[in-house]
Amino acid sequence: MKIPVNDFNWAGGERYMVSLRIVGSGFNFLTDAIIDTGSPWSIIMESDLKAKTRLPYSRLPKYKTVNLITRIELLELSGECKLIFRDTDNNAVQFSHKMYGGMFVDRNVQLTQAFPSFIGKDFLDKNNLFIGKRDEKGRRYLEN
Amino acid sequence: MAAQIINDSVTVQLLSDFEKEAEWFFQKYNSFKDEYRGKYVLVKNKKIIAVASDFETLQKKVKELGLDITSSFIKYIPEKDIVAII
Repeated sequence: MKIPVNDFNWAGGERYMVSLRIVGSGFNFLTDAIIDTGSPWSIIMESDLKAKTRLPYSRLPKYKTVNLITRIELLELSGECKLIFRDTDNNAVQFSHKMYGGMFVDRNVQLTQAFPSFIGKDFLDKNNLFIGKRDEKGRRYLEN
Repeated sequence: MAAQIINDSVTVQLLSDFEKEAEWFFQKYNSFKDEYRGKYVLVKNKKIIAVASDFETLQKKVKELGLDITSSFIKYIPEKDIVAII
């Protein structure tokens, strides 16, 4: 299984990004997420919570406060989410994973609305996925 | 639960389209960011087809265009560039 990963320039440098559908309790949307191997959590950030869900995210139970570039409240989302990706054979590949909501403590709109969601190390480890070397076309993939 | 291949051709097509919009957006970002700073943009078929200063207005425009917000490529362009280590 190979899931296409893009190197996109965002916030001052290239990031590994992947498009996916996220289905959870009360939401179902498409987004592009940063693959962040340094994050212990996979997080649906506020930009997606606001634009793509109807969750009352400011009232969701808080899990913990973490520091990214500023403080973020990790929010408990009910149950596991389904994460669906397109692989190189045009299959829909589905995983189940615990996602958290992410809400900035600092209400700076620049951050709250610009920061994309994250696929963290937790997801990669749980599913034995890694980002492989570039192929002959210069593309990378999430592989297992 | 391990990865499962599911029968969902609709999602495959939507993701394929979404990936193309994302690729266009990030590759062309520097060419349009100054024009749309502080605004929400909707990208469709590799073009910015709607712009609004607040999300609720963009949401209305998405509806008027007959699009589904949950599968639309929407981005907020910050007033100043964000530089982050993550």
